[in-house]
Amino acid sequence: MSSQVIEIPKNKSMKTRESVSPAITYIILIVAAVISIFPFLWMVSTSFKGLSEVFAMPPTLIPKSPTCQNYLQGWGYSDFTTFTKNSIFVTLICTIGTVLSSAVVAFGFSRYKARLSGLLITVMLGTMMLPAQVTLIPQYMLYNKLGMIDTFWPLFIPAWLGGGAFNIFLFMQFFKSLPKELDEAASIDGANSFQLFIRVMLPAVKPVIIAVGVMSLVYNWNDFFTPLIYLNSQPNYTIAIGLQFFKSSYGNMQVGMMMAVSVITLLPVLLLFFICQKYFVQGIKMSGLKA
Amino acid sequence: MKGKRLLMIVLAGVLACGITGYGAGKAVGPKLSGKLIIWSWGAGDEKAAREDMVQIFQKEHPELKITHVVLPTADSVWDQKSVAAYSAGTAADIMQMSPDYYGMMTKYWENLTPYVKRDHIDLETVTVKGMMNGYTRPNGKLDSLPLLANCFVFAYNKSLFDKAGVPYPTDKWTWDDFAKIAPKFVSGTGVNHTYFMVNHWALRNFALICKGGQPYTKDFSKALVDSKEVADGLDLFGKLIKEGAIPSDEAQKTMPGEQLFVAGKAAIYLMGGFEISQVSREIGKSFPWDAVLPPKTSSTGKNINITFATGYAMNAASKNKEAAWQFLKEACYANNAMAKVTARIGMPANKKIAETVYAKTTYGSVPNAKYLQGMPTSQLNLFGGTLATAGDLWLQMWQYVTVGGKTGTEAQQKYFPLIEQAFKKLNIKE
Repeated sequence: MSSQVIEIPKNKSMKTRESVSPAITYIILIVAAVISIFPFLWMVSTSFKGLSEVFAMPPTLIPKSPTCQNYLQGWGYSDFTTFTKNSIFVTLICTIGTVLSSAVVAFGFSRYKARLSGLLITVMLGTMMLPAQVTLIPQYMLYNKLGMIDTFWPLFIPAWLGGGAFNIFLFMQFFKSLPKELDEAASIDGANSFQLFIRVMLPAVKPVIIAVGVMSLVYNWNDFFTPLIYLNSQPNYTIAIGLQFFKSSYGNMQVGMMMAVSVITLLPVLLLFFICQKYFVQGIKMSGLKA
Repeated sequence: MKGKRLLMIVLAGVLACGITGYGAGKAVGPKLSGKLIIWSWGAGDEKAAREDMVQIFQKEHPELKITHVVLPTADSVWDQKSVAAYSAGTAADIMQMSPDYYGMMTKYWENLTPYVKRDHIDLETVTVKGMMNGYTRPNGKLDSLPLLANCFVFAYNKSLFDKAGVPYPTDKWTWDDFAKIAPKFVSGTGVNHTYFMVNHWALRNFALICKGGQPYTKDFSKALVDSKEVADGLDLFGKLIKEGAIPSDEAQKTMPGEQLFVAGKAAIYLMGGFEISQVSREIGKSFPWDAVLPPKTSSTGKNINITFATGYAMNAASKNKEAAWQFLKEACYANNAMAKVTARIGMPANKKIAETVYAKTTYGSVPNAKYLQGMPTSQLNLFGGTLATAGDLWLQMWQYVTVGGKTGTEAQQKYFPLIEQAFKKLNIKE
């Protein structure tokens, strides 16, 4: 029996629609991309401008007389080398802790059933609605009792004890999508829970690991509130606190220098984001958070 | 006989210097020892001045082991950190504060009145006139001692005044004069728009009192923003914004206020003492400029002004109160070297240094003495700390007129009941 393919001739309006539709999509995407990237471009541009040009009217995107003064003066304005080192250290430890601990918690919640696990998941998700300010004083007092004020421990500990409800939720969504047969096969092969987690589950959730890792990295790098609350000595400050030294208590700012130092300190995070971008998007897609 | 008289005069002089702490501007007090922790806020020049000041104190008191923490923020995060530290008992012996918090943190602070009495200090004579406003609670408790204050002047661009054919303002000008000349400066549109005045964040405070209005009674028991004078003040600024003489809050967001003035796009800038050096540096030789006191209110005949001030409080839980008290005194009035450093960023509380070193410092053609002139008739920032809820409502009221285009009376009808309610909930007896 031979099959016959009937070709329906496209009329003019269909052809036009087919060629116009992607064009509109591209235009919308380009406009959105320009809007999104503009603040970044503005930051880079401002970092090369002299004081008189920063707020010149009409504004210029490409500096008329570019200068590196902001970079030279800005970096020496405060101890930004130490702040950057601290930020790298804190971000690294917190990111590793967040990825590991949230994966462990999510693995437990999604692959094992206990009598109160439903309630525990609800409580855990409920913590997402709790503003940090509500728990600030009790937490501060606790860390004070443990002698941890003005150390990095209050920044590390939450990352290593669960790593945040949102990250756990992200991992849970992905673990749930893996077939139960994987666990059964591993059990038949003699794997215990730990081995199942390390050897079977973790390699299967690489995109989510990267997604959580990148989000945690960006969050910890930019976090201003937590370090400022728990750290007192300047040698312990992170970059997010350090950048505030460009802003006086009356609101006046050293805009050029602030932008220059922001550009330098943003580079490592940006670089990492670009390297991991593919996995990051994949992780978000696969965990079901993307529509 | 002559020798005896001379000796008596010398001794009397030494005694007087000892009592006032003026001698060589050095510390006078008991022997101190132990640790002393100080928390300050500030960035840039402020931070440098605070650090230099504490270093001077440390040099003069090597027996003390001082730890000085400077946080680069004075906003709500400072408050949260402070409250957490007070609650945990880890707050510093000395904490920077603002009197415009109107007692918000008073329960954590030592009452300084007994110390003042013990040392026979007359704070009104050793500090700048008006500097002590806001430091004493209604119950008589002295919360803290001032470090510095800053009020405002109206800086003006002489070229734009010449171009508009308007004579330069003087300290005798009134708000009616101000309103009358405003339209003469408005020209152009879009990026070429020239304004009469920059919309400064402190302007809404001036709007409230410029026609003789008051925000509340002296004992904070009742809001007074329903008066005709307050409505007139709002209407004045509403009209100026509508006519394009002052940018609206939204338009102003596109550029920091001082930049609009520095770029020659506005003839007048409400310039705080805390920013005069920066503004002067940025103007450079772009245009000739000068400054006058804010206009006089017709009803009182006085130049109004608003003060933003800061000082240091002693933590009631401090374990080294004598050392803390010594620091408070020296930062406030009893150490000229420390006051000279503070004078770099504002008007020091120390009267002697304020009237000499600070007053004589000139930026462009504007001497700091102008700010000293403004202090006696200046009011403390109207809505800070405990009064923040009422302040938020006042901001909404201001925007209702200046952005929404409503009249002052309409704004009062909508917001006064809410402000009244906010005041009823207050308890500023302590």
